Amino acid sequence: MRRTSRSGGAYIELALLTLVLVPLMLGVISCGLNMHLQLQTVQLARDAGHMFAEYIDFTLLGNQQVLAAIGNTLGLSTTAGSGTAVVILSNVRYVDVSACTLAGKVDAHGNPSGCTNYGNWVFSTRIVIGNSSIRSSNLGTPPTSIVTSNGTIAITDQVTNANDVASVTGINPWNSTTDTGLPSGQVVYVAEASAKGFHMPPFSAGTNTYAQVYF
Amino acid sequence: MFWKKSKPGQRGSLLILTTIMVPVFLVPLIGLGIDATVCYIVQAELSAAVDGSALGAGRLLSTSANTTDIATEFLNANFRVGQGGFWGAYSLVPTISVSTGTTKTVTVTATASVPLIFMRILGQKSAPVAATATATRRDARVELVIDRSGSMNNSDGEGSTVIQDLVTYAQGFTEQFTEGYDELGLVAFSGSAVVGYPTTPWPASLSATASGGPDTSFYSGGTTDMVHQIGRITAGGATAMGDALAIAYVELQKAHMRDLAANGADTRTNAIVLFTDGVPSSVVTYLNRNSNSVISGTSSCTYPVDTATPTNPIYGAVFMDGSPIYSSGSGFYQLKSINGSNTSQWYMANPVDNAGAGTDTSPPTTPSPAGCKSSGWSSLSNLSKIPSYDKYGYGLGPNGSGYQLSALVNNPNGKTSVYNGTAFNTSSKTNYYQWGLAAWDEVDQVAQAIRTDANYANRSGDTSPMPITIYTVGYTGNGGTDYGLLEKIANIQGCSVNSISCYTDTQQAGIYIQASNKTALANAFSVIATAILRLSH
Amino acid sequence: MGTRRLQRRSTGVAVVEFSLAFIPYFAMLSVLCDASWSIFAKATLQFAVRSAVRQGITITGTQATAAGETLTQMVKDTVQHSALGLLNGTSGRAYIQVHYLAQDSSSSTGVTDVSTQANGNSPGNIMEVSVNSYPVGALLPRIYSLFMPVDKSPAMVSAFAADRIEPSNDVPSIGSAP
Repeated sequence: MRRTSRSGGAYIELALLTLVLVPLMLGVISCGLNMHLQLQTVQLARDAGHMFAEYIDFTLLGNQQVLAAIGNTLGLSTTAGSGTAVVILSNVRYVDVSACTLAGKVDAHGNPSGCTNYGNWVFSTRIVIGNSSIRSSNLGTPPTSIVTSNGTIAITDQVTNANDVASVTGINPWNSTTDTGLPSGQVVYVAEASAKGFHMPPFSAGTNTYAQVYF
Repeated sequence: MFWKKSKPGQRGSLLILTTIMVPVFLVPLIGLGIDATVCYIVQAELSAAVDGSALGAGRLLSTSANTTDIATEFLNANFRVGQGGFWGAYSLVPTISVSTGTTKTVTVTATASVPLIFMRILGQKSAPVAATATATRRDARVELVIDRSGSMNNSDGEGSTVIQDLVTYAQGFTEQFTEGYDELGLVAFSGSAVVGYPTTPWPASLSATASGGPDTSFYSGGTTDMVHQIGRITAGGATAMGDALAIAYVELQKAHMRDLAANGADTRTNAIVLFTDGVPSSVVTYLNRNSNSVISGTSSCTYPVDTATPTNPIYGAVFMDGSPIYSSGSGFYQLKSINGSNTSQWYMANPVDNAGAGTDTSPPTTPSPAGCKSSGWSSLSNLSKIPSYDKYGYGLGPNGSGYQLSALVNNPNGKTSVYNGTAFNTSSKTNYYQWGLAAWDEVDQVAQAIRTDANYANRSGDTSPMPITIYTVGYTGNGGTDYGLLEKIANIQGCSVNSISCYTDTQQAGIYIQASNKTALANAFSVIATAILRLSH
Repeated sequence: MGTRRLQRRSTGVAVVEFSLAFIPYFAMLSVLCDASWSIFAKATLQFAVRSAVRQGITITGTQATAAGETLTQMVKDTVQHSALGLLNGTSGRAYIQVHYLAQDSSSSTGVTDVSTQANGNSPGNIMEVSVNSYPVGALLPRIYSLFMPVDKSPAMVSAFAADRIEPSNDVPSIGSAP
């Protein structure tokens, strides 16, 4: 009796331990890989945003290749629509009276007239690198028809085109009563990056990573 | 009996092994893999957040914005505690310090705590991460000096002309400064130079009076603001670089004296940004200067020597034709007078008037001196020699090594220098090679005066010299430019041309950027703007 | 007599059982071990190149002269310091590369690699720091079979970071790059 119960004891222990170790192992691997993708996404968003805010032109292929090197593990490709990552660079501005004036949408007294986006944040530039189907921007998407080849959007479209409105949270435009906020005429540079996550259910659902930085 | 004792020890061996391994081996190792990576991620996010905060707020230093508030807003917008992706980081503590003065700095430091997942088994519940970033900005006074000679109408090779590109990038350049805080001015030059912005007072005075000069309304949106004035620039004519720099120096001094009178002190940084696509080819001079008249005794000019206080001055320009080494020219042309109907805008749109001369900012000469041809002398034999001074009193002879530092790039005649071994000789008044040397030297002398603020002694009421930095951009696509000259006048660090040193370490060191195409030109302007503002981490 | 023989055999069986059970157990442990280690190593290298770029774009000529080094040397030093010992020594340093890229519209991509030029590090150019094909060695080598040699082949990882060089009047000497 005692002999039979002793033999195979190690295997039972192994079975019990496997029940614990294998999920741990798979969890560590998938979690770790996802975390690593997240780290790269954050760094990609930061590097891209910083260079963008320092006037590097990301419509040029060479500069996009620099980003593709930084995001190589994420699968960022310089060919639009391919790859497993995307970088979205935008400039947003708040449409106040001076923006309406620049577009000529003011009346004789200088009040906004026909300036339909008055009081909203709008996009003034939008550049997308990589696979735009991975994720769309948290701020919104201006229609491709109003974005020129160097990424800019004409001031008239900015102040009148309703599809150009952006949803910006966390930065307040200028408030002359409280003397706080972003002054008139300033733009905010926004960099967003997203990549396809590691897919291994049930440990990781393959959610896309995402990072966003305002400059 | 050996095996009897060992039997109990065989049971649970794997479990015991695991129990020992977990805290000693597994948890630390997995902790290293998972927790350390979490810390790296949160640190990267915090670092991105402070960078964004410093740069975003840094752009707004010296505006009406409350920099500390803006920096905090950016930081909180970038590092959203509690939201997904931040791994449960908590306790974000920002420290933002803003220092004011001529150089304004914002320093953003932030710390946060990250809860650890595996290491808490060993007692380490959270780890701190920190990041810091700094941005600086200085209040600037910038005189933008733009070459609008005829060669600027050439194609840029990409579907546009160089002057159109330049106008776009110059307008973009002004947008990087802050209306209401920075001061900007514009000088455009062809055969001679004109003050493009501000448009009043007009004619712009040529002494350091306390009015005029670059001001803070350059982006006001009005039809005569700097952006609109730049848009009015059209190209044509020669390259009067010396005249342009001399006027730019006067403009900076005017603003300096104006601010000094208004505020009691003026601590702005001063900069001249010179763009050119060529080599100096026009010398603006004062022919019948009282102490140095060069009107030949055999000419029939009525006023061969002016009085000590200019009463009938003959100001004009001598133009060289073609590219160095100059062998021909158009002679001397008296500059057109300024009057109320030919406004600043008119001159911006008309670089070459019907006498072939550029525009002038001197008082009108009445009456037109009889016998001294008002439209010009095509033959320079009416001169006794090449004058020793230009219109403003800057020397036309070499300053030190002078023209030996000339170094041409992309010259269509294959020349590498305006100097061919023959030294400057003022008696060779009909020799355009010599005038080419004079034009080169004029630019060099003016730039030297600017960098040393040589006119300080003449500004009564001024308390200290103005430090002025010169930045130069040379576009090589239109018949080449002289990088030796441009490097020398910018006084770039380590400057050395033709094995001669051209750097003086006691003077302000600027930047020279060579651009051969449109993209490089755009980049040049943005690099210079950020250098002037010193926006940095 | 027969009982003793049976008892001895059962002793041996338990030890063999343990050994057999230990192999998959050990395999799982080593996978956990290697996975954690390589995740950590790659994250550290990523952090190291990022820190180096962040610092490298603000290095001035005065700082370089005071340190007695060129810009590329200082950047590579920073990578080594931040890599927690992963890139120590000359062999570690050999994996680090520093590239300088200039905006240039005469190039088909708009950007040219100017790492070998003396003014490659002019302000406004992009500095790209990378660790290329660094072998993350296995902590516990893989034993596939008793008849094959132990598999110690490492996984190759790379890390990149890039940023624009800050404007400055005080530019350091570039050194030997990449």
